Amino acid sequence: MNSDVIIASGPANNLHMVSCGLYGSQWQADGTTTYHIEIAEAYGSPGGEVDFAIDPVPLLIHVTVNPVGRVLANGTAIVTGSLDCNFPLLSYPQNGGVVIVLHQNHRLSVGQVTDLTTCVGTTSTSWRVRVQSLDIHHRIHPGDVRVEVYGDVGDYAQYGDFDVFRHTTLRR
Amino acid sequence: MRRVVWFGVLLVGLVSPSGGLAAVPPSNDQIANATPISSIPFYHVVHDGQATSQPQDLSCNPPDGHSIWFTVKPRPAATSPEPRHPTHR
Repeated sequence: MNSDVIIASGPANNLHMVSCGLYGSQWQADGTTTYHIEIAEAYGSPGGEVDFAIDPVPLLIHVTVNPVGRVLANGTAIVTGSLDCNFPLLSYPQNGGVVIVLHQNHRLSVGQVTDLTTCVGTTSTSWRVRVQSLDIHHRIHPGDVRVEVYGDVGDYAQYGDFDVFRHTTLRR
Repeated sequence: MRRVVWFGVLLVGLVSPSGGLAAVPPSNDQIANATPISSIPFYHVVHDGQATSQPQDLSCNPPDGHSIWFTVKPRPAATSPEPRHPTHR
């Protein structure tokens, strides 16, 4: 058997194909559209018993931190990296967005991604953050630091959060 | 903002042809009688061997035939990001 799965929208007499695939298909649904799912036998298959399942696609988030960052003359640092999701979502800087925390000599330095708007899905979304110490008398020093990246992405329909630890080397 | 969420349909097992079944099309043979899916995740075993083809049926890997139909209106989970304050973690 060779079963096609076809996702379509629109009226029955004027269907618009949203996606299709042999043995399975994936599509991005909105909360207002009724979708038609057609299971059809492909390549002239005679058909038979078919086990049919439909599930939400789990959200996957991948965070990287570039191995080298930069310490500025004023004691702050620049850290860069990327954020990937398996489908497009947004981050909300006003709700926390993506936060970078440097752990150096038992002191915390924090920065927030302010210009990140999308977690694109097919290509990496780069971020660049200026980080400064929570202690106004402390200056960030060059050297290896532990970097915590946490935050969330979503679209009001669903969201996912993450909290990962990486390392980077800060240089002048 | 538009509500979007991704779903996947998977045919998890393809078993034997329906040789012993009566030659009666399944109830959801036509789109007008599509089986509604009221909640997700959804799992169902169907027999499409006696299903027919209709003019409005779509094709993915032609020639497609023996079509059966379902309808679904996915409802996204009512969640949204909570405000987070890094200095108050």
